[in-house]
Parts: sequence; C-alpha cells; structure tokens
Amino acid sequence: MGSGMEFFIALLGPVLGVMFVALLVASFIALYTLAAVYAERKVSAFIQDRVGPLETGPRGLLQTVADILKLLLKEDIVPRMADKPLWVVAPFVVFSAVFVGYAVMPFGPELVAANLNVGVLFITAFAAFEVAGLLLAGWGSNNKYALYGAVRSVAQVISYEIPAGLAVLSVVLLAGTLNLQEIVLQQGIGASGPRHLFGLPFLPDVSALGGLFTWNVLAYPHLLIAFAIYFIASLAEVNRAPFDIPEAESELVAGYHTEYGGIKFAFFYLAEYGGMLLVGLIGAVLFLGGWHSPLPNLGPVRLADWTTGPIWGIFWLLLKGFAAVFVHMWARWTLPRLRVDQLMYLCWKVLTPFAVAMVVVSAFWASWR
Amino acid sequence: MDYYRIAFYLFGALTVLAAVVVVWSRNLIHAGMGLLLTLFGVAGLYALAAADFLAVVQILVYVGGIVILLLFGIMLTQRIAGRAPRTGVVNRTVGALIATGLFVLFVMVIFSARFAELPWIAQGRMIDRESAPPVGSTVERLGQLLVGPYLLLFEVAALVLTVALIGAAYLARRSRQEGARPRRMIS
Repeated sequence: MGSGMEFFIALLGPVLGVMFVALLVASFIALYTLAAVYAERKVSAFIQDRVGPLETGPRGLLQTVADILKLLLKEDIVPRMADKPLWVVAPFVVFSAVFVGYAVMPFGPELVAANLNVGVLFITAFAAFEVAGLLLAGWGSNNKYALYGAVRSVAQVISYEIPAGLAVLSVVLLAGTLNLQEIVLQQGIGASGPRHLFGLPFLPDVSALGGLFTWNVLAYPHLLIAFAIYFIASLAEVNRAPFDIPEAESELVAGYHTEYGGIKFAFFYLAEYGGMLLVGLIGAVLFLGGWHSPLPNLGPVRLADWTTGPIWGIFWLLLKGFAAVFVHMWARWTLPRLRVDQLMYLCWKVLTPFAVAMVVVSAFWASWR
Repeated sequence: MDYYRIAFYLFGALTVLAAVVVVWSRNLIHAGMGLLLTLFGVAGLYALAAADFLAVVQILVYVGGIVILLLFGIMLTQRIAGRAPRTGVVNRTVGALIATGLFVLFVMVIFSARFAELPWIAQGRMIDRESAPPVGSTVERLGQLLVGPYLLLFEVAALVLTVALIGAAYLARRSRQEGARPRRMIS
C-alpha cells in the first residue's frame, strides 16, 4: 500500500511539475489576452480619433475584465442541429494548437520548455491542428456562415504557409539548424565564428559588440525582405485584418465562430490573441535576435552584457512580441480588407516569388560564406 | 512502467482506436477526424523511436496537408454542393474474404520474420541503455543522406511532385469556352 503511494508520487511528481509550468504559461496567455483586447480597443479608438472604453474602471481598464466575466457566466448553448462532439472540441483544438507552440519558444538562456532539434518545424506542423480545429468549428456549427468562414480560413492559412515557410527557410539555411534556441544563440555575443556588419567581409566584425548588430536582419540584410514577407504571411495565418476574410463581419456575421458563445467563444479569442503573440515571437526569434538585448557593448559601457539574463531575456522577447502585436493592431485599423482574389494574387504572385528569391540568396550566401 | 512505456501505449491506443473510428464511422467527417488522430498517433510513435524529424514531418505532411485537403473536399462536396457521398456497406462476402485473407497473410509474415535475428535489431539489443549516449538530432544525418547517396531519388521525387502540381493546375484551369458559358446562360 505504502509503496503503491510512493510509486504514484514518483510517477506523478514530474508530471505535476510540467503541468504547473504549462498552467503558468496558460495563465500568462489569458492575462495577456485581457490586456491585448483592451489595447486593441484603445489603439483602434486613437487611430479613428475616438476615446475607446472609458466607463468601467479608471480609463476603462476593467472593461475586458467585465467582458470575460460576462462570457464565463453565460449559458453554454449548443445549437440543436450541430455535430455535437466536433462542435464542442473545436475551440479547445484551436487553442491547444496555438498553446503547444509556446513549448518550444526560447524565452532566455536556459529558459526553454522543450529544446527540440526541430523546433521551427514543430511550430509550423502544429499550426496544422489549428486549421483542423477551424474546420471542425465550421462544420460542427451546421451554419452556412460558419462553414464558409472555415473554408475561407483554411484556404488562406494553407496558401500563406508557403511564403511564410520559405521566409523561415531562408533563415534556417543560414543558421544551419532547426533548433530555435541555437538560432537565437547565433544572434548574440559568444556566437561561434565572426559576424561581420551586414554580412560583408570587408566591414568590421561585430560579434563582440552584440546587440542589434548581430541580429539576423542586420547580419544578413536580405533577411529584412524575408522578415517583411514572414510578417505579412503571419498576419494572414492568424486571420487578422487586412486578411480577415474568414470572419468578414459584413458578409459572414463572424465566420467560423458565428455559433459560439460563452467560454467556448473565449477560447477562440485566446487562440487568436495567443496566435498573434506566437507569430510575433517566432518572427523575433528568427529575425530580431530572440531574447538578446538590442543594446550593444560600446567599449567599457557593456550594455549588452548588463541587459542579458533570464529576466532580461523574457523582457526583450516579450517586448519584441508585443511590438509585433501592436503592428498587427495598427494594420488592422488602418488597412481595408482584401478581396478573395486579391488575397490569392498577393500570396502566389507577389509573396511566394520574392520568398523563393530570398531562399536562393540565402543558399548562395550560405555556400560562399 | 516508465514514462516511455506509458507514452508508447497511449499513442498506440490512440492510433488503433482512431483507426477503428475511421473504418466504422458512417459520417465521413468523423472518419476524417479519426484519420487525423491515427496519423498523429503514428507521429507520436515516431517521436518515441527518436525519429524527431520524421515525427514532425508526418504531422506537417499528413495532418496539415493531406487530411485537411481531404476534409476540405468532403465539405465542399457534401454540404456546399449538397451531394451526399456513398457510405453504405456493399459486397459483404467478397470484402470479408479479402480482409480475412490479408489479415492472415500479414500475421503470417509478421510471425515468420524473426525480428530478433535481424542484424540491426540484434545490434540495437547489444547497446546498454544506461551507458549509451543519447540519440542526437536526425536532421543533419538525413540532410547529408538526401544530398549525398540519395540525391538522384530526391530529385526524382521533386520532379514527380512538380509534374503533379503542373497537372493539377492544368486540370483546374478554366478553359476559354467554359468560362464564357455561365455568362451566356445568365443573359
């Protein structure tokens, strides 16, 4: 009896530890989503010369808290003609697919939950589960708006995975690894081998300076174009405006989540905002130095050394991620929605050829280095 | 029981149970989702066998590509075009005979294979699990093999896929006469 208990404790101990960390990240995503929804409203308001939420709490700060309380208290309604099992699991599939991506994200030196050798591919692969979840939601709702929204969304996400994947590939070719943590380590001080400014051998070696100069976008200037391609494609992959055709409110009510309410709707929201932050973080890791500080070492003023560490790592990475989320919001409230044919034109005839060109440039660069 | 074994049996059970759903469900979407879970379970088994790259590519290609397109196709035909696909049971006797025959054949092959005597299995059994170095990444090794000894096969596969892509684009292309027809019908 006693040994049985010990056996279970030995078995469950590490599992509980992992679950605790996962819960920590999940609560972070929930809190961040609350803040991001508030920020989105304020940003949209300022862009459109309005004031945004104002009544609930000081400067409307408690507005999203009130909203989430409302969602939690709502009755859980299942449409009678819905395909119930599929309809119920869909929001959780969508959220899990996004959440899993955070497992391989390096937040600082030694601070990565799963230091996978195939981290880049892992995130790309699990984006597929999000697509499956969207299809489930659209199909399970038994609603034509939801189904059209899901079908549009899937067509869009699958198409834009190609330029995004090629842009990522142009980084991977130069990095020579699929491990996200190694890609980050190459972009800071202590990277093996010299890193010349703009990657040109006649310019000075900046690997001792660190900071901004060793980031991929400055070390290999053509990656700036790859970053732009990745950023545009990632907007489409998280179904954000100007690529919000799947939930175009003027045509489809709300797209794939038309029938959802209460906590299930909240999960779609968590997935959307979690996804925005995740693609921002991936962009930061691949192009903008990950958790490395942007401040370089200047002679005795060792700014890069002073601002590097686990806490600083989390700070810098999240700052870069939040900056990307802010640009997402900025784009949403500035640009009009694309038509379906413009969407496909942009993907296949503009982004993909340029992304292929970036891969070719990276390949030559990597072989002549 | 260690974690490895628990994970192995969990993924194994997921693979088999989801496969049962694929075969038995009359609802094509449910069957498609079952297929998705089966392929995910197989990816888990690959990961447990230290084939990290293969596991992720399995998800990327099968879950992200093939099953999604399959579900997409079912949805477009069934609910949008309003045509229900056939899911009835036909040819019971012949089907049962072929299935039983194949099952017996596979079982016989598996039991006559003598896996324990195969050189690479025997070699693997010689390795001491405690002192052996951890299995590293398979990515570098796979990459070197693909652009080294298997370069020709790799390029042939790439060519086949390109031809398939061009063929699909040609079939999906709207010819001039076809494109004009709907307009004439409306006017």
